[in-house]
Amino acid sequence: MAVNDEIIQIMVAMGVLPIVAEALRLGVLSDGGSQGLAASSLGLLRNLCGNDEIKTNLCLGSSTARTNDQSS
Amino acid sequence: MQIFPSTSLVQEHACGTFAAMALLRPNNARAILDMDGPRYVVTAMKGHVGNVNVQRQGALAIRNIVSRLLRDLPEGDCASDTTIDNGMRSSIHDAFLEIGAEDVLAGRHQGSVDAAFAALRDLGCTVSLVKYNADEDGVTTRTTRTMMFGEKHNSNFRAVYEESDGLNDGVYNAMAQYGL
Repeated sequence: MAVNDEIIQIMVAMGVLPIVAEALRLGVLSDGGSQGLAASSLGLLRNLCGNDEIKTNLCLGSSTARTNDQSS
Repeated sequence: MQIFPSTSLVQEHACGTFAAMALLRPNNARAILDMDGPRYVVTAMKGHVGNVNVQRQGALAIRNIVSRLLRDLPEGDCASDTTIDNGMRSSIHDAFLEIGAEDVLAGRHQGSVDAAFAALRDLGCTVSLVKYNADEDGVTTRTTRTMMFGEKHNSNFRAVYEESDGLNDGVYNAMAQYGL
């Protein structure tokens, strides 16, 4: 679904980031982790990184992203 | 990437995420470099040599990280600035080259050769694109540049004009044939 910027923004507004973070955490659990869940979560994160603000938030944290936006 | 090193899909998506994060965002590229991202990418590429998707996403990640960091270097006019720039440039290159990025980027897959070529070029490596063509007779020829669409060797074409003794006679015969 996360194939264009508008959809990504809606998904993030609906709260997809905590869900995908939790899915990734469950996928990489040392006991009973799932390769499929981890791969799918990473795939979704990869597509969500199509949005500049979201990928900066994910990479640097939201406070740094806001600082960068204000300075640029 | 460390937990599922043998799962190609995890490695592919992780490399793709690095590539997307570094695209047009120098601060992200710097953060990936600082958290040892190059090692994860190169390790993934070494572990999945036969997987073109991992190779392509890894090459894209390297390319995006390196090119964004290099492009973000300040343009210096004085000699000291140039020296600092060269030092930073080589440190960025070394972060990848010291862990064997050049070897893993050497093109093995047709599907990732363009990304690997761009990554090697941005890493400052001397690189040339070599293409092998198999013609109708099964003879393999090697070209050192990318051929353009429709470009094909024409064996009947003579690039050098040679004077022909019978040229005038041929012209006169043709003119006589059409009554000129």
